[in-house]
Amino acid sequence: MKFVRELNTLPVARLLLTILAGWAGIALSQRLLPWLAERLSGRNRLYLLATVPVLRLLILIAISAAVIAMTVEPSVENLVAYLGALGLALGYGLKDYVSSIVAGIVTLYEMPYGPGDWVEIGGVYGEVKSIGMRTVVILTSDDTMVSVPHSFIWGGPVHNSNYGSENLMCITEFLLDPCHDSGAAIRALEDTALSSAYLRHTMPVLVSVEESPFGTRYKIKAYPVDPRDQFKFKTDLTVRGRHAIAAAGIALSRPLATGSAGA
Amino acid sequence: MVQVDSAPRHREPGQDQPNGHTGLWRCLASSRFEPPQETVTGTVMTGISGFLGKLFPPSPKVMNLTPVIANSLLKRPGSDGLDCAAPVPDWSDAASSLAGAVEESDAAGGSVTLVVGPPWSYNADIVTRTAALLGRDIIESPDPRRVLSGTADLTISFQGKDSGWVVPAIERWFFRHHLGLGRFREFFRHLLAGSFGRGLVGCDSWTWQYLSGVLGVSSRSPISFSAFAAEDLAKWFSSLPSSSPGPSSYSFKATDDGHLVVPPRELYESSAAEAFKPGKFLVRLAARARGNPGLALAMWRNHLMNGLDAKPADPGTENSDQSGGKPASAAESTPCVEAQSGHADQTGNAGGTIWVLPWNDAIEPKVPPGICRESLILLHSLLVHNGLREEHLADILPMTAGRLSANLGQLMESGVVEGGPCLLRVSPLAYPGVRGLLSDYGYFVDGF
Repeated sequence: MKFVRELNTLPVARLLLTILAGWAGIALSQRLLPWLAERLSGRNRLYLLATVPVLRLLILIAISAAVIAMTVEPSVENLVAYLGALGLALGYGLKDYVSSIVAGIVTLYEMPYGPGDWVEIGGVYGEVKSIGMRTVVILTSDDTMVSVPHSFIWGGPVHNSNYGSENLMCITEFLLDPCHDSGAAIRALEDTALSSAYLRHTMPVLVSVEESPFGTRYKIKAYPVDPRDQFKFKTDLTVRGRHAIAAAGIALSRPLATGSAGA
Repeated sequence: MVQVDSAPRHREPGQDQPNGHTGLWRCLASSRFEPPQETVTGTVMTGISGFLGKLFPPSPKVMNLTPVIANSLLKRPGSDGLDCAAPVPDWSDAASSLAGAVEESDAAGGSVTLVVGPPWSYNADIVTRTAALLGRDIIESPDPRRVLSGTADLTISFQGKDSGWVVPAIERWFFRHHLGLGRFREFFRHLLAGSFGRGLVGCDSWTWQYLSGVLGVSSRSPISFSAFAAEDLAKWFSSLPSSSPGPSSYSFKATDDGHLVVPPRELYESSAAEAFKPGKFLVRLAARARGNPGLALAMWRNHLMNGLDAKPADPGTENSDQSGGKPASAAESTPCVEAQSGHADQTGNAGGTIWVLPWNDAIEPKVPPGICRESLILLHSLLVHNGLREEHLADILPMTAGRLSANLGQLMESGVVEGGPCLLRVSPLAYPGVRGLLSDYGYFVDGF
């Protein structure tokens, strides 16, 4: 029984060309589509980024099928033997690697995250730049590229802040001295958000209040026009929010006012 | 009893008004405003060129704002020439129409009329002129520094205005700033509710979109002027020279095929008016300007060229509307100079012929390729406020002075932003592109 075709009958050139074409297709899609996406705006950019991992998977499946068809002698016994050997190797030697690959396939189906999403996985928060077979590459706010294995989704939650859309809620906190006019504080912080140049006006602005041992905690919950501006948006709200609070005659909570570490 | 017109005496505010002197200026509810549409071909070409421009942005080039010679036969007219052929009018017709709308609104029980206009529609000028017709006092805007600090008393100027008042541009009364925003919101609500008596308020459309959409301020029925279609623009452009010191009428012909783009004014006073149909240039101009006549006028002026030949053209080629022919080379002239020298075309038109560049041949400022999001914020803020003084930019915008200076410098160098320290605005020729770009990036835009 021959498992693999005879060497002299093996279409080596066609095999190499097929593998090369597959590699070129994946490389091209991983470079061309993100390049194209950066030149688009808003929703179109996110839609295009989401097609990158799907396209790569399709190319891999097609190339794998073509390679198997070219190398394996086509018979039921050979196929069973091939899959059995593959399963043995994967089960013992590549357990973790395969786990991540399987998780990667699951993510393509369940879509817990996609390119352009802002996620927190395994304590790492940032924008998903690319989704590989084994890892997802996240760019953090300090410009660090972090590769997180897909297998993380088996063990813990995945926090997705915008889930494929342009709407990403930003929360900016203020800790105020308990002795103050809450109405005035809410109005001041609402106007702070409504007057921000980064504000996405189609989404609501909410100011929530809760008491804490360190003071009265106010949170502005609002959405920036572009998720990539979330840090500038929060900075803008923080700076002008403090100014607005002070103009309303309200003091910050003492631990923050004196510069010591707060909660 | 003499009846002035046949229109109903009492008309609901916001409904179409009787025609003015030229019948072009019609007031209607802002919610019913519809801009003219471009042809299908034009829309497709604009979309394709815009998409290709994003993929392969052209090299940035500085717009040369001084007159240039497009070819050896044509020369861009100076400001005097443009003011003869296409002057900015005094808006008396528009003001008459608006005054009629205000009086009908008052008769129907309304106390405050809010008129909303897009950028470069000269909305404030029209409202100011209307104030004179109505015999009402104009309320000057408060000190910007006090508005910015939230300490301005916005109501004091309205005391004692029993005969009515007019605020030409309410956008000069507020800043998108956390200080003073609450005070202005309450003041504006009381203003529109009639707490200060009968009034007329002019408001820029982007400012209104922010006040109504973001701050939640509402008005009973703001009104606007209806959009100018291609036919309206042709009639209006033909009538403009009559208000200038130069000749009262010109023929405007295309440089590529010699076809009549805008006929002389006399045609509209004859039975031949019905036979004239505006061509693709005017259709595209109306669509590009979104029915805004002031904006269309700026674009129109950008396409006008003088022929260097002061002599009248060959009778056989210039007598028909379908005639072609470009001017032969000769001495330079301007429209007003031509009139003084007595030259005229074969229609007896003392102003002669003004040439109109094809749509793609005129230089228009473009947003620099790869523009950063900070520049988009700057542009958006300029539109929301209908222009800002340079000294207020740092208070309004969330960027450092260095970044602000760099972004502003880039935009001014490209011609997208124009003006001086007293007022910086998005230039009219760049406005359509800027509006589209901001909408693509998710920023709110006006309803015009």
